[in-house]
Amino acid sequence: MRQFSRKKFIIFIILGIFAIPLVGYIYQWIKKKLLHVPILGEIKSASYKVGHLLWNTPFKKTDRIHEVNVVIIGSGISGLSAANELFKKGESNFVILELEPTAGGNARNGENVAGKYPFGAHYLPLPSLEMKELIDFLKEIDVIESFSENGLPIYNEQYLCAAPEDRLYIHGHWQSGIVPNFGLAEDDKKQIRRFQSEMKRLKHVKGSDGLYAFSLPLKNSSKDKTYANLDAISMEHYLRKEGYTSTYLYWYVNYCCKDDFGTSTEDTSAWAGLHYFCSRRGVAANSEEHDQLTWPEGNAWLMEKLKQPIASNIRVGNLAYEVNKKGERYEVVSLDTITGNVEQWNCANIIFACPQFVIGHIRTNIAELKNRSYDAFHYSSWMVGNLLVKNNLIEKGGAPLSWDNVIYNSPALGYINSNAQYVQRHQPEINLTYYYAFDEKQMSRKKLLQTSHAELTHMMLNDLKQVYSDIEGSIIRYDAFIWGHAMIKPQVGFIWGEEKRKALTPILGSIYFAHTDLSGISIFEEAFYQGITAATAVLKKGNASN
Amino acid sequence: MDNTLHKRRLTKSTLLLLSVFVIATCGLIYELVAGTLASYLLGDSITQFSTIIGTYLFAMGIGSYLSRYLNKNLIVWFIQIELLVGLIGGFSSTLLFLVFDQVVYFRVILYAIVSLTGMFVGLEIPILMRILKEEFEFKDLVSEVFTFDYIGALLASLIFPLFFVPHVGLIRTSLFFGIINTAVALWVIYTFKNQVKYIRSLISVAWLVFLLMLTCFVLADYIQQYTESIAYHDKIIISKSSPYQRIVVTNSKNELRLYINGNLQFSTLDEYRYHESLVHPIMANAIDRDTVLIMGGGDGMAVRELLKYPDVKKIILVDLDPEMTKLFKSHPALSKLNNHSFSDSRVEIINDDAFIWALNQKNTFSTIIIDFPDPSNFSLGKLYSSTFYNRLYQLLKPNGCTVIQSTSPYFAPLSFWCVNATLKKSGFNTLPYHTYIPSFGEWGYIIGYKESFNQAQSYPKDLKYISPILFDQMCFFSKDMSERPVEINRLNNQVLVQYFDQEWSKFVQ
Repeated sequence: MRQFSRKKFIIFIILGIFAIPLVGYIYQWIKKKLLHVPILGEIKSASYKVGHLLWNTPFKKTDRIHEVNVVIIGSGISGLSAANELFKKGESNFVILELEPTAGGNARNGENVAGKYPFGAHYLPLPSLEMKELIDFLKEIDVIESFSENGLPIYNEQYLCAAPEDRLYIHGHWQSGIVPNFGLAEDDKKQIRRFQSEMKRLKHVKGSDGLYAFSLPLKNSSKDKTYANLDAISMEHYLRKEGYTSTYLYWYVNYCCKDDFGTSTEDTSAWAGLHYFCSRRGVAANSEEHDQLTWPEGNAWLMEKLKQPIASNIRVGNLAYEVNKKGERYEVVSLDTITGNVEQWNCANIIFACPQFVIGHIRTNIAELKNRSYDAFHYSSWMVGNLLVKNNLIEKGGAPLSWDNVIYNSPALGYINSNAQYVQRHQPEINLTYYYAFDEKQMSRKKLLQTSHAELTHMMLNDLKQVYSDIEGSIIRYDAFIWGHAMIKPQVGFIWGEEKRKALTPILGSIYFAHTDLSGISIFEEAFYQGITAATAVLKKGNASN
Repeated sequence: MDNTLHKRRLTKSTLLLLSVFVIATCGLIYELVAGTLASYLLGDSITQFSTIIGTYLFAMGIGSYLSRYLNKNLIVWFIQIELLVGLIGGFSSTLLFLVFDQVVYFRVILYAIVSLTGMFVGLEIPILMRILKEEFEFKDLVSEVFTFDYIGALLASLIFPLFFVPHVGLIRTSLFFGIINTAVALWVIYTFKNQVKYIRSLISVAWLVFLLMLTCFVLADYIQQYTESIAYHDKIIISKSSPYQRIVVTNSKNELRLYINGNLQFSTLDEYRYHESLVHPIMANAIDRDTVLIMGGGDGMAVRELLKYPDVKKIILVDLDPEMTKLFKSHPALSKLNNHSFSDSRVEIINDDAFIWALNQKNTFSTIIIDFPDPSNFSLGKLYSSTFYNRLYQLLKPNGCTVIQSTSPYFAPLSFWCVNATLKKSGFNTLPYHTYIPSFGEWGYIIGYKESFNQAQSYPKDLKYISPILFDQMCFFSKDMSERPVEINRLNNQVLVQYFDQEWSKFVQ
């Protein structure tokens, strides 16, 4: 009896051990195969295919010829800002050629039942008072309502980032604020405090030329070698050199670099990394210092304001592919991708407000343009996904859903509640906009552009399941915008390097360049000032010749 | 002959070992149910689970100790204990739900249940080993009994969170395991029929317990509903979930109470105090009473007060939830409360988001009454923000007045004075006042005006509460409610929600 019972017992145990995962597997299989409904949605991306195709195809003859004073190529913030400046100063004889079906570049947006949401850029930090042109623009469009007695801007509070602003999921808990704090050892906290006070010091420090060490627009920063030389080392190197060891601090700085540039601390110059922390001196009468301006559709709101006065000058779906000098004037040839017509724009000035890698593909008889070097220009690629979800997500403990929600040690950059700025009490569905900057080593641009919707969705789910274990049941759809060349990488030596300076130099006093890749950091402020600078140069030349 | 005897012994001992397994599984499940319920009610799940597990294990120790005093009729003891475990454990969650709102008793009953089940489970294992000691060698006996015991515990700890809590619910979970306990007891009774004394009474008791639990299992939904109505103290007469909120109306001998999302909105015993104090101070002396705007107030009580002024020509009420205004328009008992004011031709009901409606509104008003829910979350906090009050300022005519229900200056002074400061920041002159409403406690309102506000010398005749003398008193704030320094509530800081949360959490469990 004993023998029998033991044998039976062992068999029972072995069967049991195998049965538990088997039952689990069958359950999962049934759930996946029979009950699984794939998440709806689509991939959107920049029209790189049109570009690739057309640059390699011979074109037919010109259908129409236009005479204008200025041709602006590209309708991102740089191009729109240049156009606005021209228009404001009385020059309205210009055209903007845009390859994409809609204007706006990185500052475009989508819309669904829950409201608007950004495809890319989604906020503007309060500008410093010395950024006079930007402050004036914000006043013009009523983002700044008035100024207080002591000269501080009073912002329209509907556009200031709604509370609660941000939170971080760390050690199984949502803490408020994204600087790691919850569950950190005293030494880590001390290092983070030291880093913060050093950033605070550098924010107000000035170089021997009397300029702030770090300024916006970037070109107004001090040229003092003490600071400019920081461009020669990486942010990672800087942190090590300063004696920081806390992994939490390294994570935080890396997160900030990726969030602003799409690059890791190793791939970011220390000057650029510090610029992120030390260039914003924005103040307001009715807000905290480092507050944000934001809208449900992100910077598309600002873009629309820039676009509005000059909207009739924009030609969308229009690919400029050839630029030639003819006598004192220039001919820009473009293809209207909608009608198939080839158009020629005769002009006195050209502003290239598109990324440099695009200019490299343009045919030209101008040697200076043909010989420009683009080797130093590298771009990070991004996925900006939008999750339309039922507003019934079960939150983990701690801080409530905020505008910006970041997960510690996630490969992605967290998600924005794009509905946070809406004042409605009842929001049955909301848009969570999910940001992911890719490391070239893990996911090449080519591979990213070939990744299917199901795989992109899977990537997002894997990440967000950490904080919403049953998120799948709440997702209505997931649309992913893939940006192959989302942002210029401020790599070591790029910002203060020779290549960038050369690329920014106008050609023949008539061809100008305005784009954030010529600043080295891809942000609204830089684009805004790049546009103004180019337009001012064009206007100055016009005045001189009159 | 020898062979059949052998076989029979085998089935008996297998059965008894199986019952060890069931006992272990059920015992742990009861403990987990208790821990979960305790965490729901008392919070701090770490403390709840660790004290409950500790108590349970200690009680098992007591049970094991007590087992030495049971010497005769071991199998009868075993069956009886098995039945008791099933009965107590099976009904544990029902019992705990029933005492849910009585925190003091809840703890006593909770630990009594945990101790009893622990003790009985602790009794069972030694008894069983003594029953089986003839069948096995000692080392095999110990090994097998404890193996089954621990496997049962593993099974319980896996199926409880993964299957039972999400799919079955707590009440049904404990009843289900109670039923299994009883079923095993019945099986044991029938198997050991010949060795057991008092067999008839045991069988009938076991079946009784079994059927009782089976009935409760089927009727678990009703139990759940009943326990919910206990949480509201009184009989629920209406329970409606709109896409916006959960509306519950309860009825006791002499009063109706309205709850939204579990928060008391009014009691018919004293709501006249609240609504007279809200409406009449700015209405009685208003220069122009033609058109009145009310935001919130979907119960129609404020409209009822407004209709006491014959010169009111139009009342616009903006309330988010059509379900709410529909109930108070057409439900016989509820529309009687507001004197059928929603059927008055002067009243226009707009079901819209107040903030959006205000932003899009082009008309201006001389009287605006604001009766929003308290700023208990961020989406409600927006309706108390400087941005909303700036808009309110634009909607108000120069000689007009507005009044805002502003939570309690006694329970939540920072919140109350924050509303006041925010109104001032938006350009209003303010007059804060407060009064006592028995079912709420001390409650506050703030009048906002642009040019001047004159107190009324007389009020409509048929009022039960407010009078000129009383209003003078209402404007006086004692030291414990006096004005204090606060921040302005802006969309980008939402300080009011934080004040409100801090202050009320001291008073509400």
